[in-house]
Formats: sequence, structure tokens, C-alpha cells
Amino acid sequence: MLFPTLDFGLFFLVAFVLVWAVSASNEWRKILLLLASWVFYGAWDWRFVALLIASAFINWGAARLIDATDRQSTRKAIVTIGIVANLGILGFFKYYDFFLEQLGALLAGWGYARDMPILEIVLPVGVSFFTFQGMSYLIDVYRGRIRAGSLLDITLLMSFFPHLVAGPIVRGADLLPQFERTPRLNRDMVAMALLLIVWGLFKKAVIASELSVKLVDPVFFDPSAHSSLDLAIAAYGYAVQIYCDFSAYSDMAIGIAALFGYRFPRNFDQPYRARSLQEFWRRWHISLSSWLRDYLYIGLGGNRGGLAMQCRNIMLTMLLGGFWHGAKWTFLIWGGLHGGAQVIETLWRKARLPALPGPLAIIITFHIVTLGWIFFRAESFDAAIAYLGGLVRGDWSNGMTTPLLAGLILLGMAFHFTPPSLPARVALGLRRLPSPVLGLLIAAAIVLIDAMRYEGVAPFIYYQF
Amino acid sequence: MARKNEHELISPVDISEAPLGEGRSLVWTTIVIAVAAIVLLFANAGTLAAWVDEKPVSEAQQRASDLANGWSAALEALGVTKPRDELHRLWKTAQAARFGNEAAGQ
Repeated sequence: MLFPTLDFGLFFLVAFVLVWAVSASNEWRKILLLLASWVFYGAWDWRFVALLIASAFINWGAARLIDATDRQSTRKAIVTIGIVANLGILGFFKYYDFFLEQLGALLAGWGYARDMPILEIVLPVGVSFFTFQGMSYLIDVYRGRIRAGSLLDITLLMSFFPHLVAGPIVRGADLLPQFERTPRLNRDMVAMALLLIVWGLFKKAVIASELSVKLVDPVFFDPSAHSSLDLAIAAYGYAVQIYCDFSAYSDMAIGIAALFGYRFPRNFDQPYRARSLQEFWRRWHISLSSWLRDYLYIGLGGNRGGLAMQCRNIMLTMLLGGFWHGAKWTFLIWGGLHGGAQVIETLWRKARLPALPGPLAIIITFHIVTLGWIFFRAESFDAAIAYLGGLVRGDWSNGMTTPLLAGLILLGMAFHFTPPSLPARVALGLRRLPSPVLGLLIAAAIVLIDAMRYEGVAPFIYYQF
Repeated sequence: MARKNEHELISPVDISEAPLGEGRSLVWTTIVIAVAAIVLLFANAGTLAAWVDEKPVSEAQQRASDLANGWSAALEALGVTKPRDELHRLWKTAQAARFGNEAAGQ
């Protein structure tokens, strides 16, 4: 069930009415939200609802056991088992086939070719998100940051449908306190929520879908059939597409959660205006980058232990961050590129070299990011290399880019250079409107988007992770 | 674990120090959503009919399809769906515009 569809619209209307109708009881509202979340998740594949419940049960039980004992060694053993269980779920569904394929290739290279027991496992939607959420919850309980929650709260934390399949990775420390009592709406959050939903709808259904179908997909499908100019513009197009696609999901998730009274933290902050890769990661997929920093980078030692260790930790964090996206070498290379660039930035800073002028730093950062997106988007390492080879072939004829596509790329970039407070200022204006007027405005905006959207809605890019 | 960077904790929906309408906001929100849904039922009737037609064929789906298509045709005859149709036509014109002889798509 995709957010920008009528199926989801009707599902939301029913859930909204029922959940607020029973809100006199916080427990009943949470139970209804949980059931709604399972219906939402089960729309993809009912079998995986059991996996979601099992995952929640493991994390709830492990956290309870951690909370119940004061012995440090026991606590450490339980948190380790819990993390291994979460990684086991992720590893089995996401990486099992990949590692067996690599092992098979390695054995074949040594002259010991074998038929490997490849299972062709179906990847449960959102498994990377809910396992990371479960791990952060366990570690937070272990470190005494939060107390272990009830089974209902933990199951809802991991299943809550707005963030379930593509984030943001909302931590227990952020959401569990909100589950303790029935939330209350105010016009500020509702106005901003509606704005985020409509804005996300526009970014996904109009910009990302049009760029995907008309430019990016055909060019990446067969780079050799396209000119260098087409390849360059499709790379920029993908940079805009993935931003509009993923930030749209986050915006809608934040907006939908807010209409049920819950606050999710921001996940994007105009990432292409970053002046360095380190700044880029403070603006892009913030819930993942902060997760990697707090639970992996710092866990590895962070910037303690000298410059060499810091550089090693940056590289390891980014490589694993890349691998989190999928079991493909291209994601590892993408992570390695981001890690390598951040290592260079760290060394540059330590050497006290002068900072680049702002606009130049933005342009360089954006182009490193766009280079990384080519690996991220390409089907294979060879396909990415073929794409890069085509870029320097020197054929600058335009075979793909129409005025509309060029306009959408420029528009997607322009979003990054508007005042950061603009959405809040618009919402502050909307909150004062009479409700029928705001309802009319929302409907008019949706009609406009529907008139412009590409026929059909492709799944969000991050659903595959 | 505690996060040092406070901006990561800020929710985009917290937009002012003094939120408006703590008391009756649920009623206000419900009316906003209800009005939007009803207007869309009229102004975007074609999308509803297309959605019903995409569902797996069954007796109930056929009945729903007849109803939705009848509803869409009636509103089209009244001109209610005209703004959406006109916007769609403009968008198609924009899609068809070319710098030269580029192909674009598929």
C-alpha cells in the first residue's frame, strides 16, 4: 500500500476516524494503531507480519531482561544476543543469498565450483528499518538512556505504519515517551502535517515519477545507447529523483504520524546545499546517519585513538552504511566513496588547509554525491563503469532532455536554496484559516497534483532497502 | 543514546512556541479532512472510477465500477471535473514540448 494511492487514502480515513474515536483510552488507541499497522504491512505480504511481531517480541523480551538485572556482564550478554538476533533476521533475509553467491564465485575461482544452496529469499519490506530500530532500542535500554517499555508499546514502536517500511528510523527514546499518554492535536502540527503530505505527494508523484520514467530509467537501462549529455543530465536527474522520492516519503510519514498526534524528527534538511560530505550526512537521511554515528561510529571508537583510527572508523561506518542499503557491490562502492571523501575532508581539516569558498564547496560536494548516485543506481559495477565511460565519450547531442524534464531538475535543485523557514511560515499562515477553506485548498492542491502526475505510481526507491 | 545535535530531535511539525487551538483542533482537523475528501469525490471523480476499474474483477467490483463510472460521467456532464481535465491537458502539452528532436521516455 503506497502513500500516494487511493488505497492508502481510504485506509488512512478509516484509521483516522477509528483511532481518534477511541482516544478516550490510550491503550485502545494504541491497539487500533497496531492493528492498522499490521493491515498496512500485510497488504504487501501477510507472512511477514509474523516476522514483524517476532522481531518486536525479541526486542521487548531482551530489553525486559536487561532492565531486570544489575549485573553488567549479564546485561552485556543479553544485549549482545539481542543484537545478534536482529542482525540474524537482517542477514538471513537480505544478505544470505549474496554471501553464498560470493562464496560460490570464490570457490569456482579456486577450481572448486559447487552448486550453492541459494534460497532466492523474498526481502520483507522495511526489514532494514525495523531491525535498526530494534537494535537502537536495545542499546538505549542497555546504556540506561530509556527504560524497557511494555509489549504493546514496543510492538507499536516497531510496527507504526507511517515509518514502518521506509523510515525515518524513529528511536524508542523519541517515540516511547509519546506513547505514554493520548496525544493532543494543535493547529500548528496539523497545518504543517497537511503541508508536508501535499508537498511530499507533489515531489513523489510529479517530479520523481516523471524524471524516473522519462529520463533516468531509460538512460540507466542502456547507457551505451545515449550521448554523454544524456548520461550527465540523467545523473543530475537521478540526484533530484532520489531526493524527491525519499524526502517525499519522509515528509508524508512525518505528516501522517502528526495527524495521529505523534512527532517524528526531521529526516532531510536541504542536503544538496551541503558544503562537505560530512555536512551532507547531517542533512540527508538524518535518522540513518545519526544512527550510524551514535551506534556504529562511536562504538568503533569515533575520533578517539588518533587520526588513523578516526579515518578507519569513518571508512568502516560508511562502508557498512552503504551495505545497509543492499547486498550489492555497488552499494559498498557508494559507501566507500562517501567514506573516502570524508576521510580526505578530515585530513584537510587536520592539516589546517584553507576552506574552499562556499559556492565552490557546494558544487564539488554535489558532484561527488552525484558520482556516488551513479553507483547507487546502476544495476552492477560493470554497468556503473560503462556509464562513467559514456560520460567522457564526448557526444554532446541531446536525445532525451525536454524542457519539462530540465525544468523539473532545476525545480528539484531550487528547493535546496529556498529559506529553510519557508514551510513553517506557510504552515503558520494555514493554521489561521477556517477549516472548510483549508479543506478546499488541500483538495485543490491534490487535484492539481493528480492532473500532473505520471500515470500509475512507482514504489518508493527506499522500499527495496 | 543521547544525541548531541539538538536539530536531530526537532520535529518539522513543531513550528511555533505558542501552538494554536489546543482545545478544538481535532474538530478543526476532521472538518479539513472531510471537506477535502468530499471535494475530491466530486472534482476528481475520474480517478475514483479508474481506481475501481483497476481492482480484481468480481461481481461487487463490477457493481462498484458501474456506480463509479456513472458518477464520473454525471459530473463530467455537469462540468465539475473540467478544471482537472484542463490542467491535465496543459500538463500533456508541457510534456510534449521539445528543444529539438529529443525523444524522452520509454
